[in-house]
Amino acid sequence: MASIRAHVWNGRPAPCEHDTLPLARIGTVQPHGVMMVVVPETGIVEHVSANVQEILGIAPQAVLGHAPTAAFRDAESLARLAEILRPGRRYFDNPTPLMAQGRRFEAICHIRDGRLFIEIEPYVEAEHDYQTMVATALDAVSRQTTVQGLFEAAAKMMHFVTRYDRVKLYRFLSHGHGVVAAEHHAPNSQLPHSFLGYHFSASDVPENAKEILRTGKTRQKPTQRGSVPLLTMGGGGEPVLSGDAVDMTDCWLRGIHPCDNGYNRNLGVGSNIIFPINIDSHVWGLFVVHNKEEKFLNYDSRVVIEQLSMMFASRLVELEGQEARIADRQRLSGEMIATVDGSQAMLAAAAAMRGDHLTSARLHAMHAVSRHVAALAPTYVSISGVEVAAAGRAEDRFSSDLLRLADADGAAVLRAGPAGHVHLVGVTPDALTVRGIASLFGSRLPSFDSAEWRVFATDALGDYTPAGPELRAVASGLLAAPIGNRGDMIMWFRRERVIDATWAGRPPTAAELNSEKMFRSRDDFAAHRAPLAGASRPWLDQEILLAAQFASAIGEIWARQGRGVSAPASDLPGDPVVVDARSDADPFASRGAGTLPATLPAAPASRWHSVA
Amino acid sequence: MSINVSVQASGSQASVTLRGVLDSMSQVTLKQQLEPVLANGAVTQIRLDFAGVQSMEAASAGMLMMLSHTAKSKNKSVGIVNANPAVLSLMHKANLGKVLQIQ
Repeated sequence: MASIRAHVWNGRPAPCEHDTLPLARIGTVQPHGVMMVVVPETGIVEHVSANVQEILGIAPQAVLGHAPTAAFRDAESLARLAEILRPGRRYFDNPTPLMAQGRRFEAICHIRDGRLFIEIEPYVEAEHDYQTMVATALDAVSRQTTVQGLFEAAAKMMHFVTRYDRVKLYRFLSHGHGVVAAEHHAPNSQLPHSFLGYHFSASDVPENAKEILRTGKTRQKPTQRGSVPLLTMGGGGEPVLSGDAVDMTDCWLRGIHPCDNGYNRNLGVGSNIIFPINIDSHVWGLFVVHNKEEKFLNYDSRVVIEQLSMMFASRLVELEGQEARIADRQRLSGEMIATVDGSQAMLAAAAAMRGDHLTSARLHAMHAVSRHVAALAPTYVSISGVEVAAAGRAEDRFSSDLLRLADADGAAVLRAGPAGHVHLVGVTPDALTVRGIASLFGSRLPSFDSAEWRVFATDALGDYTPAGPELRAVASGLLAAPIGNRGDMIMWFRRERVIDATWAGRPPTAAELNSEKMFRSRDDFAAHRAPLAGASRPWLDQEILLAAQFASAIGEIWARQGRGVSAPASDLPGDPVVVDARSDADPFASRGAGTLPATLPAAPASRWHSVA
Repeated sequence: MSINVSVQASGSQASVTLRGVLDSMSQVTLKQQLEPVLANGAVTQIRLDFAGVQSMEAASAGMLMMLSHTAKSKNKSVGIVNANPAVLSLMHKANLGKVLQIQ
């Protein structure tokens, strides 16, 4: 079931030459451990890494086609392996201690695609036991009361567990780029250079790598010594390369692409680990942990950090909600919905009137209810120019509350049908442009056909529509939710926020993104100043959810009133009634910029009828 | 998608039945619903029945870890029962079993 996050379009708009590198099926394994891929039904090794001879002292051909126990002599290890191989096992109490060649190892097991993966790594002592590490991390995360405090505490905890030289908390931004939001250095760090506040180009993370990170899998690269091939048994019984036969998405030992090795070498990094921070299957950010020298972490330490990443994500959602006063805005939403619901009786009665009383009664109703509320009422009666809203009046509060609900700079309520109308509040594109944006849903933008959440959000509208600079300036951020099923909609807008960014190296040009350069290791990390434009402040998931719930509640009021109140005689059932043809003349609308860009198509006339 | 939470406390045991999707949004609801249980001094065992949980996200696993941590500090234990295979798989991948009981 899709989460609210599935309705957010952000990220890298343009593909990159190295996006499709076969990273999960890379066919190689990191050199510090041995991988065995076993057929669970037979207990026979189907694939083994070529370094099995070097690490366990047994030739690949003596393991392929045999049980994994062939590589061990120690009785306790053999018993533990037998337990791993017990038929029907799906879950494993990792790690399993093993002994071979007089050395201690840890076996880490998982099942994927019907194959049992056994990854055998040399045992490494940790500075703290699992319980100490996890309790300390839990305590540190729980105690934080601000988002920035959480960032800094989590980075510090990453260092507490790993003892690596430098920990970076990297947060993804619009367009898929990212920024180092927090950093922690070891007291005796051999990597003293700080990247705090530096932006990194979206192309640093190929799409296939992000796909693996989205599964929550940590990427551990303790050495930069390249990779060894994974082998399987050839037709003649001899070991041959496994190639892309094995999906290593969940493997710790998955091999490293040469580009990646070079990137780290050029950064002066000998060992690094990347822990994704996932919020609802979306990669929010990464903990990137660097050490100058080769350094290994045992399994329990990695588990603690994975768990810390999950706790971080949970606490982040909570603290972001607190800082954005989501609870207050939920209450506000409830009050607004009640206001719209309560206003209906008067407006519906006015709309249903006939004869000489018609205009005066509607005017009276509008004076009493305010046109901002009326814009969301089930039976729309629009009038403007009667008086200009003054600060402190109910109608001003409702309009400012509409913006406050989503922390937006502007909002638009679109009414469909023969007497369609656009009601604008705050800084928005003009009515025609708003209609043009609405017409894109179902073509350039997604349709609202999901039964679960009917909402759409982006921080960078220009990445998905041919929006000109004028439109991007006022509506880079778009949050839209349909009201009911007849084409009515509410949109919130956020202005473009141009960041004076310092980049770690010059970001690649569009031409470079689609060139061979993408397969060469990046070697430029020097500070490069260039603006990051075309995006607004990001919408929080909780704001998007609130918008979806608000529009849904308004739609329910309309549906309920549609069942209980007779429709006006002059219109189709439920269609809005427009009294004043100048209703687009919202006093705020004149402050809003934006003309319909030539590249944005106008809405179909049958859908959005202009009355302006 | 929201989560529906019902709590039944009997003696030292609180049984919490969950129904829906446990994601970053619904975890806030779950946490709020569990606050009275955590504050109840008579309760020493919290049993989370996941039979009605269709799916769970990583951030929610983090919330459960913190819940377990808070519960331990109040001398309470937390256990999860009846999780479906997909949810169970995520729990094992997250090594939740190292922090709380999974049956």
